[in-house]
Amino acid sequence: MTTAAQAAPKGQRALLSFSVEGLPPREELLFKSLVRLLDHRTHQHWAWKAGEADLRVVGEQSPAHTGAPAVPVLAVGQVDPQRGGHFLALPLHADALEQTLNRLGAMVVHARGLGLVAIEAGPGEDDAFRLLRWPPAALLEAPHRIRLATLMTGRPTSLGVLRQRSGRATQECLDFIADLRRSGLLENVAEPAQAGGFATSIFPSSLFPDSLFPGNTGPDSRPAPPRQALRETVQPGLLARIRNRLGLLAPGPR
Amino acid sequence: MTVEHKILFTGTMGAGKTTAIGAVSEIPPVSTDVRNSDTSVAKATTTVGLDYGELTLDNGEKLRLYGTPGQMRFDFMWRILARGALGLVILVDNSRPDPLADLDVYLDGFSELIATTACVVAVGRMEAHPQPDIDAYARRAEARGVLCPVLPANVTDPQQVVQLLELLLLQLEA
Amino acid sequence: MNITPKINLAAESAIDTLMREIKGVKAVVISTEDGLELAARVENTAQVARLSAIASSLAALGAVAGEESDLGDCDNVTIEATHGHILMLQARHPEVTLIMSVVAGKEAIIGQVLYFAKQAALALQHA
Repeated sequence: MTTAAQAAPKGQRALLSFSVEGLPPREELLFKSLVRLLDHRTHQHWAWKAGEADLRVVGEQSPAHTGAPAVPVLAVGQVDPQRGGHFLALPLHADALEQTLNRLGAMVVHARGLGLVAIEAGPGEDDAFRLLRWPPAALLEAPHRIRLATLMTGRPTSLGVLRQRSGRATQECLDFIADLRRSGLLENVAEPAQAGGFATSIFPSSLFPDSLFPGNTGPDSRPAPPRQALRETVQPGLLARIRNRLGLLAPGPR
Repeated sequence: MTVEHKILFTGTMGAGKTTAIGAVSEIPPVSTDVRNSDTSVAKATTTVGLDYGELTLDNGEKLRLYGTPGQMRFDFMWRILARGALGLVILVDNSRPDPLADLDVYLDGFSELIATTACVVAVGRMEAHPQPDIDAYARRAEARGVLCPVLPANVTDPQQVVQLLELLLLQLEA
Repeated sequence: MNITPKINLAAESAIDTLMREIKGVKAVVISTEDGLELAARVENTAQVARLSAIASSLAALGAVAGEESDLGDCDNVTIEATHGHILMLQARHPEVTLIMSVVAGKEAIIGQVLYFAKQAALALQHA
């Protein structure tokens, strides 16, 4: 049995996808289950996807495919078709699958790095986007990503704002944004994001009758805010004091 | 007069509200626990008023940590305790029969507070009970118009409670 | 809730007595210390839907207040409102601690309410 391959400090594994075609239903189900089971050991995180994926898994019943040449193909079957490509024999064995996935995964990641695989152009500094839903655990393996995602739960943000508020490197932010986009968790937003606070927010007094902020709730006041928009302004220095007391490091550029 | 700041902890009976507060409070938590008469839950005591802990900041101001009773019949306490809170930590126990339904109760019960301040959902006992998974919680929150961090947490570990508070603070920053 | 029949009977009996004896009584509710209603009787318009839970919170906070002030156990919590009083007492039966809440209107005499309520709580304790 191969030993688990875990990075000692928690880094973020690459998130790769695979599609399946031409495999009998039983084998397809088994393949997908094994990939899930092996997730804690594979060097990359693999998820099944319908349609275009990073890896095509093809069975003997698959017709010849004229797909993107840069996408690797893994043939699965009784007999090696001897087309000189990657092959896994049936019945499937977890160890062989793990090794094959790691090898193919490394190839895909390498190809991405070389720009051989078409990637969506990254966002510009000020292009605004918003997070649609808290990301699944697989996208948040590296601790800094939890912080990045948290910073994205408020109003729409942009690469520039995210980098400034988090103090993380541009590449880390870009990688995270790319993973989110690939998972369908980001939505572009029309207005540019602002780095400033909520100084102009209107706080409806109906929410808290004894609120400190008497709001305008007259007929000409602003329409109801979108679900993420309104946050009360916090007393300056308070957050720093609380962080200090909790023994936390402050975020921001180092 | 001392300026006060408050963070609220809520969640079902046994989810760990009192424990979480105790993990970071500088005073032993004050609690209003009484005997639990609900035989469907295997817990001896339950909070009927509030749990209370505090931290003193370097300028003398206090950060007060309040735990609410978990059952819906105490929702009047939720409203009272929610007033002026900086943020809310919702603790969910993944070993319960329908933890997503539990989450619904607090997302609804504290909807006004959540819409205007910070919130984080901490799911406990996930190692032994991995389902529902984080993504299920994220989708449930999305269905209720809430977008906030959701993560597994063991509140007996002070560092993990501190991390939850840090995620609240991150949301509060301009 | 595992409340034995004899306690249920004693609770009903206590309510009967209080509704009969106290002039101006609007409602009597007996509940568990964690806020679940055991028995209740309500005159006309008085609303007691949440009284059990509220009484339990108040009793618990009363206990904390008593402790913090070093005055011992909290025996009862009395709320004086514009149109009457609410009295909440604990009845510590060996099997279960109950909270008895009495809602009385303006015409009630608070001394009388206290007297009968305490008697009833004592009887309940010894059921």
